[in-house]
Amino acid sequence: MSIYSEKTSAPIQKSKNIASVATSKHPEDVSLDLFNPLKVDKSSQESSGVLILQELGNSTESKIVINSVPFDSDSDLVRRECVVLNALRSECGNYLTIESEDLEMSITEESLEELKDAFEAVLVISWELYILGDTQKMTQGALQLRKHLVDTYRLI
Amino acid sequence: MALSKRKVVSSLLRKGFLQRKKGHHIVLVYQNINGDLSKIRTRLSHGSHPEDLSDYLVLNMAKQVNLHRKQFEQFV
Repeated sequence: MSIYSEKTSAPIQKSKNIASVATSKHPEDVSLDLFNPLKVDKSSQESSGVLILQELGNSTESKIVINSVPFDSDSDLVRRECVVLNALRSECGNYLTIESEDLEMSITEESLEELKDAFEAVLVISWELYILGDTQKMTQGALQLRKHLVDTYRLI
Repeated sequence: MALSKRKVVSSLLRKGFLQRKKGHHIVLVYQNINGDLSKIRTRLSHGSHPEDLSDYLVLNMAKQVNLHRKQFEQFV
């Protein structure tokens, strides 16, 4: 999985544009079909993943683009539809937090890199627990989270 | 009030939380009295952070397990 940091002062309008910016130094060279969630295959994921975008001059508007997360050496958890999460900086300036609907929890870390890493870890652990775990030993809330994860990601 | 990471983890484990690790990340998931897995989770990491959790992180962990900060501090 690649990690890509793009610094730009240009406002970000669409998630497709974000994906283009995030996956290439030459966005005009990237076909938007690459980001069609219906066309996901293993090879097209090599340049995607969880991406970090940080706009110059306004660190409160840093963003993390979620597309796929490595699950193990052979497979990835691919989001059915790419999503952009705003990473909000705390008032003290020391922490960044994302509110992840995917995981139904917030994640706080000190940097965007750590935030990305934490998101990946929590997603993989959640998948192992709720998708691969015994549904007979889950509460209703856990089963709802399980359904939400299945609806949002697929293992490829 | 800053809390020791080690103390928080050991306390949550004693109170029915299940621990899972990936890299330097620890996720703690609550199991109810029947041993059923709930969706109540919290997390912390052993990255570059010091041994203690700052007030801000304690507040976030409290929110994740649906407690107020004071309640969380008493809980652990």
